[in-house]
Amino acid sequence: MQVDQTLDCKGLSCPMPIIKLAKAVKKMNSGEVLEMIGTDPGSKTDVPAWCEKTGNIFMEQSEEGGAFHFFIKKK
Amino acid sequence: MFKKGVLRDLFDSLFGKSWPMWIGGILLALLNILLFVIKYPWGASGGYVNIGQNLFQSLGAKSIGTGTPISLHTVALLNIFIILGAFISSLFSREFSIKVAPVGELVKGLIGGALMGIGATVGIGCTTGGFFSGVPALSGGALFLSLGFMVGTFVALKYLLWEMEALPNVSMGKSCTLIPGTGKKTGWQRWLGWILIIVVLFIVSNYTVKGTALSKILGWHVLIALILGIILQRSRYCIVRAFREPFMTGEATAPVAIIISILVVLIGFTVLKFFGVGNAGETAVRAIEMKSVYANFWLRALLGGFIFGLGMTLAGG
Repeated sequence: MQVDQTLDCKGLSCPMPIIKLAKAVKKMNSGEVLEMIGTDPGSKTDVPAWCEKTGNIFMEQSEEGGAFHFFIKKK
Repeated sequence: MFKKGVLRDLFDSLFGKSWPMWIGGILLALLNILLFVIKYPWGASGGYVNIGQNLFQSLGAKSIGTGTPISLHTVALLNIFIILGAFISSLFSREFSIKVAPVGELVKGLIGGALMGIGATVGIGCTTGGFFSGVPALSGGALFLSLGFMVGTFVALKYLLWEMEALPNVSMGKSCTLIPGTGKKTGWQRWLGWILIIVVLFIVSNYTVKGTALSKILGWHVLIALILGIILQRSRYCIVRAFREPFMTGEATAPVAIIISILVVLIGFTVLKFFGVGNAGETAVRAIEMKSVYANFWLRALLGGFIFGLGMTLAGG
């Protein structure tokens, strides 16, 4: 998978990851992929819900070394 | 009795994935009704006032009067054992981790927490006692408090958006993870969880065997707090989210979950008040407890709610 942009939200707690995600996705072009890295467990449900609400595509998520990685494709 | 592994499967499904928020809401509502049967509806800020009073007294501040010892204060016990319950739940889920946020976020947490303390004291309590118990107890002040929360959340959210544009460095910078929550070598977490469960149950039985009316009530509070903590951790039941979501993402998951639980509490409280259920201690004391709504000037609730709303959104969590 080609990642166009990476957003580091490690250490941030709710609601900052979603606010930052919304801002970053806004600036991207359609079809580009964003990788968001965070440590807030709430993001595991918040990020997919946000994608569904905004129509962006939630591609996948993984866990690595205590951090969550989310891949989002802008619609 | 059970097929081998059934209990294990049940445990894994309870602590393997998170619960829907509305399920958590209904369970919390039922426990809140149970707390009202035993003594008062659920509250939180009063317990922190008590813990603070004890702390300042131990530091030599005599002018603030003599506070109830923490071990005899129902709300202080609830607070302590809810945190412990949530800790145990995160151990069972192998989610426990220690992370340090960037400095800017820590400062915001400190300021937000202080605003919450001031707001709860100026107003009529916090999101728990003032809102989650206050609204279903049919307190008019609780409605003004809710309005204050809404305005405070809106203003703080506007600030966070502004800060991200104007001062992007505040929420960036070094953060570190001291104990990672995921990955291998997390088997110890469940063992520690079980040890802590045994410790809490020992404390409960310690209160109960004393046999006085108060000690039985306190024992129940410790046990209920443990369950409240587990439900809170599993369902991520968050009142702040319910106030924030409409302004932020337009989602309605959290508001709907909170409305459902408020309805359940409303029905329970109304039945309790109508029939006067519960016989804890003297009848006269119980009659006062049953009202559970006190006359407060509405502007106080509105102002306190606004300050608390600012703080809770700023602090995040």
